[in-house]
Amino acid sequence: METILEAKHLKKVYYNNGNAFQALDDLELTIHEGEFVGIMGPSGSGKTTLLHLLATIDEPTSGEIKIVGTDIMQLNEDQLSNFRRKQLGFVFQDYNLLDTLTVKENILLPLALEKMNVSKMEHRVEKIADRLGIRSILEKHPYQISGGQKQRTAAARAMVARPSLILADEPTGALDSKSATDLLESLKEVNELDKVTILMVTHDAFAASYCKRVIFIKDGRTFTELVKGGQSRKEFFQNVIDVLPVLGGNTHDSV
Amino acid sequence: MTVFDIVKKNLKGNIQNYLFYFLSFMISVIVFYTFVSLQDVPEIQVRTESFEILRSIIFQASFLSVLFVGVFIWYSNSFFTKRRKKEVGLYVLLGIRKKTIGKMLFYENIILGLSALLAGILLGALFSRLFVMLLLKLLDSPMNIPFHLSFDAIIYTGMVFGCMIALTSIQAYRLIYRFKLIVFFQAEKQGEQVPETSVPYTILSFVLLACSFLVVYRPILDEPIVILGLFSLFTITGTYLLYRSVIVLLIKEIQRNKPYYYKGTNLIGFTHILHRIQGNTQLLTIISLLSAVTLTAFYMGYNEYDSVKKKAMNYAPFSYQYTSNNKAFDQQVKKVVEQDKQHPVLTQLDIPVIQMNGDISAFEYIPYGYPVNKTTIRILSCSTFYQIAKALGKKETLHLTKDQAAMIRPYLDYMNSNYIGQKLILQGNHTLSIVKTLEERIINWSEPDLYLVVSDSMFKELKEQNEPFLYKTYRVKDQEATRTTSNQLLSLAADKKIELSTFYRNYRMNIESAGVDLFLLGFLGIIFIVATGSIIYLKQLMEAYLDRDCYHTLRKIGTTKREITIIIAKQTLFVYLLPLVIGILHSTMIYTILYPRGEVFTMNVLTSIMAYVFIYFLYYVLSVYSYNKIVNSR
Ligand SMILES: Nc1ncnc2c1ncn2[C@@H]1O[C@H](COP(=O)(O)OP(=O)(O)O)[C@@H](O)[C@H]1O
Ligand SMILES: [Mg+2]
Repeated sequence: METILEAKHLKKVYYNNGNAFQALDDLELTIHEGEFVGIMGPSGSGKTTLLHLLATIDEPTSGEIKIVGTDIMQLNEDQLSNFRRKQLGFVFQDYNLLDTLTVKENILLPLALEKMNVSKMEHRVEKIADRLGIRSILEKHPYQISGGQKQRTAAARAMVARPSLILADEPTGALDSKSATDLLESLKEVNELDKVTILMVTHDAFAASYCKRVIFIKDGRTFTELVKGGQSRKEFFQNVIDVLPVLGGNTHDSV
Repeated sequence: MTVFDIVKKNLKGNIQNYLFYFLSFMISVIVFYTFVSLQDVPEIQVRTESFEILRSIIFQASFLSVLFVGVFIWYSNSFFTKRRKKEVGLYVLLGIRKKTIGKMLFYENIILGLSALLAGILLGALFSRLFVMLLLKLLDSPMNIPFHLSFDAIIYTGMVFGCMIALTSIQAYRLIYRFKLIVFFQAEKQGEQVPETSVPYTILSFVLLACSFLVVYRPILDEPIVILGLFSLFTITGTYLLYRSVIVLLIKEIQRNKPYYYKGTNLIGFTHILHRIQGNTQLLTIISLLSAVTLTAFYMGYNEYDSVKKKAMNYAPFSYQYTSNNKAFDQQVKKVVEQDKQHPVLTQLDIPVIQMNGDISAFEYIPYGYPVNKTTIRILSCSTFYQIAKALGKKETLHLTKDQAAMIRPYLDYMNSNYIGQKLILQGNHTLSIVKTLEERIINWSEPDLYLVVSDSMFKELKEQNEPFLYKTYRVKDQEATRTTSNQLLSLAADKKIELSTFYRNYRMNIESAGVDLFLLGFLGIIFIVATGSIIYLKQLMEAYLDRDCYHTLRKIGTTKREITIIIAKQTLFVYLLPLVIGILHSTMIYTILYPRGEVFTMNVLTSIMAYVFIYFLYYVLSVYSYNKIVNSR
């Protein structure tokens, strides 16, 4: 199986009016093709920071990131843009859809940027929309649909160009449990059927239980890791829950 | 779908977001175009006697408005771009190159700017018609103006705003380069830091403001410029520190009063203000000071306009007045005056005047330019005075014994000297003591300007050595509009080298300077008020977007919509009221410097304040409405 992502000795230090804060401390991460990996950790543990580094929109203080064999630290800005366009898809907590475009137009945006021909483009959009259950709202505008539908639209947009890796930061964070379940089911399906590689960051054990592998981080370091293997989702959920007390919650903040 | 399509779609669909930017740009264009097109309107050129001055004033004032419009557009542009950080973030994620994103924003700004410019000029051409009619009405020559496109104004406006579009577009292009990428994904900083309270600063602020007060009311120096300079220095720094420290201290004090602070929504309102004040200090200071300047402009314009007729009446109470020494000329004048059917004669009065020398060396104050011991004095009799008073509709009474006289205050006496009780000696050794100063002129001004009214018996006695000459005067109906007759008479008199003065000429001169002043002051005032109001409004909108989550949370924990509206109304009131109150206070101070002897709270001042408050109130309502809509819907 091909290695999609490989991060080594990742360090990130924030400097804020004289104070240094180490958000990531020597973090290691490897993801293979077709995986659905969850990154779990309490709030403030550095998940978003990690995702921003992988998304190439922020730079690590030190360390190395390779995505599909490319050392992204070696790329210049234009190459990075190209790289993001071809290799990465994003789903963030706050949807980030353009209100002016319809759902369909939002989804095909990445394809439009690739200057794909129209019929092929529409075919792709319809296929992905079917998969995510948003076929019926394609002609609507983002302000006319629910949060769950928005997030599925964002997910569709992230996948439509068939990137090597999809990065999701708390995609269920703003959703009610029904919408969250729908979205997670969709992600799982896409992962299983279309072999899309997904890295999802979450602090929610329920969301994490949909992944095939969950990596726990704490204070900017990998703490432990669980693999689902043959377990049912419910069993896996239970295992994830069991790690949480050891992982600790916000108690660290006071130190 | 290409990138350009996205730009187009975005422009079309996001119209509300763009609308404010578009409107503010367009309104700036309208105002500016209207203003500069004034110098190119033939009707004004014809109607104003001193057009060249008007033209240069307009030109100079247009620089000032460029400054304002520039600041304003810059501000709304930065607001606009800030609002779109998220969108830009998305483009980054989609892997669009920085250069492409820059270009998108660049084109978008250009399209937006150019269409606002075009719309602004078209609407400006319409509006300028209204404005011109307004100006002509202020100049007291109302008329209907046909639609008129001024090419000079279009080019000038195009150049000024073209530069602004270019600058803002470059700024838009640079947006993506100015910040690190990560900035586009971070939430805006929620609150600014709570400023430290500093007792020394607070004291300093009060000291400075007290100083500015002292400078005005207990002036050590007499130079208005120095006073104004010191006042500005003290006021500006004092006001800044006031916002910086005093307000913070005040709110912190309120926070200590727990029963009040914890009551209902006060908690939210006050902490909010406290957290925002850091970023607002400069803005509030600037707006307070600008409001002060604007209000002063209003007062001054209003005052001046109001006093125009009074001034003209004082300078030339009679519609026409000339020295009569030629029967043929008298006939000619009579004919011309009577021909003017629109302005029938109300009264015709012959005023005999004795002109003789006198000695005024005993005067405490001698008006500038009067030779002391041999000054030319003009003398009227008491009964003539009564005739004049009747003709001018004045109710003044005058009782003079033979050695008493009343003096008309000379026109150039700026010092408001007191003449009562002073003595002068007329040629032939008549000593007169002055018992009354007539403040209003009763005869048109002419040199030499030292008029006395004496008793009839004295007049008779003086007449024996000095043959009086005759002023013939006319008062006609609607003398404010006697342009034709006035001009006719003046040229007639000029031919014959006869001294003739008309009310109309003086009135026009006054009204033109005041009318134009008023218009300019009012115009700049409007620009100021629109700019300051809109800036506060924009600032509020910006905060509304930042505070959205905070208010959603409040809703979730059970705050009712009504309560949130009240919080918003309160904290917005603070942002509008504070600079308004401080601006009004400052402006009355400036007013006191400019009109040291005048009463401060005149009708004119109060009306100006009311108009200002009203406009601010409209902005306030709009702000609360928009803010509420942003954070309190759903
Ligand atoms: N721009 C920043 N400057 C300073 N500290 C930051 C910045 N961004 C995040 N942090 C800190 O880094 C830590 C990790 O943040 P983050 O990656 O957002 O955590 P998570 O997403 O796991 O909740 C937090 O303690 C946070 O306060
Ligand atoms: Mg996070």
